[in-house]
Amino acid sequence: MNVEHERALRLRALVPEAAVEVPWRTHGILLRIVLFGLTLAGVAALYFLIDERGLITGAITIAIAEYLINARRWWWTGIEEALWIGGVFAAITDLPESGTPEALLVLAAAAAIPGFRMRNPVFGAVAAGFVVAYFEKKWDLGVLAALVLATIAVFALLRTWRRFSTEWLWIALALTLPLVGRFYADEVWRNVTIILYGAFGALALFLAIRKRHHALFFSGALGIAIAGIEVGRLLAAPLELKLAATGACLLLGAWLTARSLRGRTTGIVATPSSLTTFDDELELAATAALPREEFDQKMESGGEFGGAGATGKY
Amino acid sequence: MHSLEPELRALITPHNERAIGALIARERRDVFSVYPELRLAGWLGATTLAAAAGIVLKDNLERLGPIALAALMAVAAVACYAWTWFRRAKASVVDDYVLLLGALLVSADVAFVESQFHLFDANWKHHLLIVAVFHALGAYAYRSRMLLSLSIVALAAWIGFETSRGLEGLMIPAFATAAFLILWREADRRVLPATTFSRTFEHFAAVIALHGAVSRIDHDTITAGLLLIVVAAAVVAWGFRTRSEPFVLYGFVFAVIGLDALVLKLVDYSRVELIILVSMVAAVAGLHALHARFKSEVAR
Repeated sequence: MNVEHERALRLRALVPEAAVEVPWRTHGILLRIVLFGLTLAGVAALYFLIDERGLITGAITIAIAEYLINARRWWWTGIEEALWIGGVFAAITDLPESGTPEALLVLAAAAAIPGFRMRNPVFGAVAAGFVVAYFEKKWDLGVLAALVLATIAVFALLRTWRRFSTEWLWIALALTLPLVGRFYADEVWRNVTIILYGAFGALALFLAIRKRHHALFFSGALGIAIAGIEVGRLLAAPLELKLAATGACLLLGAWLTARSLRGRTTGIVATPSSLTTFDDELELAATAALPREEFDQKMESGGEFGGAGATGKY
Repeated sequence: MHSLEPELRALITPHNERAIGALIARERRDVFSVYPELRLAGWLGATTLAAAAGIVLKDNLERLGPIALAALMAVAAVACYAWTWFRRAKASVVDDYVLLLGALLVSADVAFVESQFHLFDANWKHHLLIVAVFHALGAYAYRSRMLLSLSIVALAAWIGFETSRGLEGLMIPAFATAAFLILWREADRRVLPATTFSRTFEHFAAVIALHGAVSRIDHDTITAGLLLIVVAAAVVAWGFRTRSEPFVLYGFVFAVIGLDALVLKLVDYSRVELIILVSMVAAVAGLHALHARFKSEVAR
């Protein structure tokens, strides 16, 4: 899909009544995810059906993917993406196992190649995750690698990109890599972790306010949140106090921000808007899942007591 | 950054100047709404505070005593409800989450009171019904779908649909809950047509019914598989009727699970990979066809 087609696709989503023609068959995100899952299950079945011959599986699925792309003009339907990444990962199972850190770079390439071909930001983020894992395994520098790559992504988001798939790659990196790096944060390096994440969060938030980009806000918030969690571990205060202080700060901060933006119609505003078409549904689903997540805590008296759903057992 | 400003400018006509102008302002970030960020901060703040309240209830029983703790939570919950009520005229996005906090505190408090004072004794589960009714009343008073979802979860747990306790014995409670929600939706639609709760009822009813059917698939594959296909087909049909594709999608996925379970039960297990491969190819083709039909019906 060339630049003009990508831009036309986004324009069609933004202004449906403009009836912009895009010569590709594409799907919305939900259908794409479902088709991706079904196709990936099919690729796995094919792999086991032909006695785990990865190269043959890869050759078949990538050939089908390329046929769908070139002959049928399918792009971002979820099917050809699953065929590509499933095929490449199947193919690398035929490589001899080395057990060395460099094997992680092979996995990174296995995600990056389909990511580049399909212009899929999630595959790109997976590839970057493997690169971070490589730095961790090789030099114990996972946190630093994650934050360096995330910082590059944050600065890349300041540039104007013609393709929105490129923009989404940087967004995916800026949002996932701080989280990936968190898994490699060692206790002995806690103070360094706090400084690095705090600095990254502050930088991303500063740029977010200057450049007005949602991904920068969320990336900065992630950095600050991870630094805050690590600071919390240094403090001897009771957990409930730390949670209450965090919750109160978030709620109060949001309230003060909303209050200060009331009535504004230009610049940074607080008028209703959404990031996805499913914002409300996601929020309701998360709220409905809360009871089991947050409140199923054993009572000292021997029972359980519930929270939002109040699941109780005594 | 990504901007479609040049393309949008090319689309401007005297009829759409204002609408396209708003989109251009958004692309240029002349107008940038932090509403999603405020929503996330509010939701996280409310749930984190509620989690803190849960720990306070758990860890301070001996120090403060059950009455003081229960009263403390009740006062905090009342304050949240009152704050939201009195600010209705000038409500901001964050007020919804103060209300959510109040509701979460009520849920925790009711369960805590029951655990300490055993008001319902052997029928302890009835406290879930109290929570469900309280949240339902709150949902209607504040027009809050978040409170409605809390009410539905508590009601489902009271009926016996609790996935956290495993899949055993879920089917009947699931179908009973789904049936109740469908009736509730119908009553809500007829009596209070101004609410926007219908879709929430529909999603919960569909998901709970599908989970109920799938929960028996290990024990009684034939019956549960057939039942799952029937329920999934009903969900897909509902998606078509209401022109909501998510119903079509998850109905279809559950139908595939039901069909595969049936086929795998009836045929030789040594061919499992072939069956899965054929089924996935058929599922992808079927979903494509279903999607095309859905689009054409929506376009009509």
